[in-house]
Amino acid sequence: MFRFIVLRLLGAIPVLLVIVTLSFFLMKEAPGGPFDRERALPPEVQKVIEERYHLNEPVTKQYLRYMGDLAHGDLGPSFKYKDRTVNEIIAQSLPVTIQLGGLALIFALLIGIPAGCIAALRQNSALDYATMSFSMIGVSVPNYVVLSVLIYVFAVKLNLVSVSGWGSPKQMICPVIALGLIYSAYIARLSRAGMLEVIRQDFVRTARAKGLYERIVIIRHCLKAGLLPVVSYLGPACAAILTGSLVIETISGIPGIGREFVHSALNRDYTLTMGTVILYSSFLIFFNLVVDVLYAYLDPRITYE
Amino acid sequence: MSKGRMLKSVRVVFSFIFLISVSMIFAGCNGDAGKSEGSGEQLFRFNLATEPETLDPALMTGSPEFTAAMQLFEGLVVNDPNTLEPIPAVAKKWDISDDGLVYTFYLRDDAKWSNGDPVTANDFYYSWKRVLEPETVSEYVYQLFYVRNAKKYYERKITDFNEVGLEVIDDYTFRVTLENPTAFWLDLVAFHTLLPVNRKAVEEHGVKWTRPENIICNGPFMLTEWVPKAHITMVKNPNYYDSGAVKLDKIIAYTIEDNITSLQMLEAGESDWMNTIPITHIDKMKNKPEAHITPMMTTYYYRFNVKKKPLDDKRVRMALNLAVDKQTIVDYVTKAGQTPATTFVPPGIPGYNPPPGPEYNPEKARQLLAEAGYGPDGKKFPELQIIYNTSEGHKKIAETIQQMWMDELGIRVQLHNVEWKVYLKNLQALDYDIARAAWIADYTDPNTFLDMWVTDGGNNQTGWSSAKYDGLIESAASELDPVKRMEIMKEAEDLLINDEMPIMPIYFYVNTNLVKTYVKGMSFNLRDLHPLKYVWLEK
Repeated sequence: MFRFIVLRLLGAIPVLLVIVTLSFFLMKEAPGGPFDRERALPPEVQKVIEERYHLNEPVTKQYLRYMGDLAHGDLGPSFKYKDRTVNEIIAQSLPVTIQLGGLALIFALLIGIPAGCIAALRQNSALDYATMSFSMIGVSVPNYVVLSVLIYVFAVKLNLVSVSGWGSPKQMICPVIALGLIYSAYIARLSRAGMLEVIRQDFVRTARAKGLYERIVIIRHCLKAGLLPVVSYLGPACAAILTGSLVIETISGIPGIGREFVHSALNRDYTLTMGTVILYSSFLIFFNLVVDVLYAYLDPRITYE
Repeated sequence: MSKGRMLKSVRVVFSFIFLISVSMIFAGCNGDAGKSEGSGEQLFRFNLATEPETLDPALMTGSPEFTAAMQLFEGLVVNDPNTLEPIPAVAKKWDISDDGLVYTFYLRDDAKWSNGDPVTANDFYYSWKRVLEPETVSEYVYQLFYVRNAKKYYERKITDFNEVGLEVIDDYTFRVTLENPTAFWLDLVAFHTLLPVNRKAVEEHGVKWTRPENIICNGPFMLTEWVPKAHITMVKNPNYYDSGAVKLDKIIAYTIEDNITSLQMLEAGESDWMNTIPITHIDKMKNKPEAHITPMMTTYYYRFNVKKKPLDDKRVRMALNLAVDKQTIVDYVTKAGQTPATTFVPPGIPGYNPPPGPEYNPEKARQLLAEAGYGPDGKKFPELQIIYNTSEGHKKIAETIQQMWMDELGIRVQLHNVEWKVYLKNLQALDYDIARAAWIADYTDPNTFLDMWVTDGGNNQTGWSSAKYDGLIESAASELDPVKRMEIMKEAEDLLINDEMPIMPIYFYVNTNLVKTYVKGMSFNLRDLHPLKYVWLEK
């Protein structure tokens, strides 16, 4: 197992290199630059700025310069937020996003898994239909609609929670629910499907035949195997949720990393764009690895020896 | 490793990861920043609407940044909050030489930095020199190019800074020599690029000098907290020379980008002021006592690419303009009380009356188009394209104009929305037919609207060029008599809008501020500048 993890981590390095290289050149291909504004700069000012940020150099030279800094762990200064470096921006925004994403994920799991299990165990009952209809709504309604409704009702009308910001539970509750809801709906559907498949299998029948309590049959035997689809969904879902949501962060004024993904690209803030790309790809690689490891734990048929 | 032991170690690893993530999630949870303590503290909260790119006055380029900077720093002069006229600030008075070239500023001797050090002429000399150093990378450095030899120094054509027209006579006397008499120079002295910065803070902390723990301010307020993408906190500066007049104890500026959220914060009592009413809520909000809708010195207009056929024919450009009913656009599309624009310079600049511009006249438009050879008896008008940066508001206006041209002139145009940076590139490369644009005044003078249209001006971007126009702008720049200068400006604008029309003015913006009724002392002006020095709350 240890060998497997090390090999996978080593394999991630060339993958990341390819991603960084491709993104760098694609980004430089995009029209416009960080200093193009509605108010055109006089050519002499334009020239000085380009020299200062090495934008006048050939792209390959800029690439080598960037890779050199990257090797030292330096993601460079932000072109837009001139008082900050990319490392700083990520260090400040990422913990907030991890809080938001982590809480939303916990919310999604706490709601989704029990709902899915109950629906599976009472298949074709009114409870099953009700749960699945709700989850269908959860999947279909965009999170900004959920968030806007929650804010309107609970913050503006009832004054129970805050409209925006991040830090206190009053500020966190609406965005966490809005972000987690769609994931909880998916998780409910996946766990229902997984459980349904498992409860018909021989080993479950054997467990029951041995006279085990139903509670133990479900939790010890069914749940472990039934949740495999949920686990494989959670890998990319974690990467997505932990790198933030533009919409939720913008509406709730949460200082997370999600909006930098979109805005840095729109602003042509080259260094920040690269920083977020590297971050997201590392997350994706890491969580896929976690999923593979979890598989071995949950499904006795899979080993990486 | 046996299977059992392996499972156990996996379990340990995962419970560890879980513990770490849970502790990370709850670490850093802190209380709300914006709740008032309940005491008689004068706490003012507003939405700055975006994360400031920087708090370094020399580097900033946008108006939210300027809004923050004008609370923290104070220049030689400031704009009067109502009339925008330059009034004494750190400079208590000034002399202007008869030829309009030499400005001598006499500084007050009680102005102090927030660390207690006096603000002297050396601070301004240092700050302006810093802007002119290419290493500083100030994008608005050209606001200082009116100073003698400043541009040459920036371009490294001269290396001796003593040749630049800045001179410290003594600690409290600062002399500036200009390249040409520049009527609006004092107005520029109030601009953010020319605000003083503290040498000690800059030299000691480099780019980190604007952090709350490092910054030294000289304005009515000082920075105590800057949480990126969340809020900025400022408190009253006890060392400010006029601190007796400052009534607010504390200001929190949020950086909420979504203006619906911003409105909800106002309604829920979490904020006291915001300066953009969402377009979707204009009808509902505009008659409320919180709403202040006032004229603004900004023009919404379309550029014509005069290098492209058939827009190279001024009769065509005239016709397109005459066929647009701008009153309908402001009444039914923008709806906030904007005024239709027949001229490019907005009304309200003291001493300047724009010449009457062409009014809506579809009859005349058809006639001009026929003269140009298009219409029922002439050639078919080629299909043109309007480009605009992606935005619902721009789209609605473009659709309305598209319909008007179709109905009145039978001309078909396509609409094309592009991403902001692509749009800017298209403009620079003259790769468009018709493009939407807006221009905000940098200073209170028609020149800020008119000098951009000179041949090859960086902001011209229409391909239009007129030797006569260039000559008028140039002679206005050297005219010392203010009345005559305004007459020349008027002549130039007349040429621009009644004769050549490389642009089509559509409407003049309005400021749409929402201010809680208990907020007193807010002023509204043509440039939407809001010094909070005079604001107080009556709760």
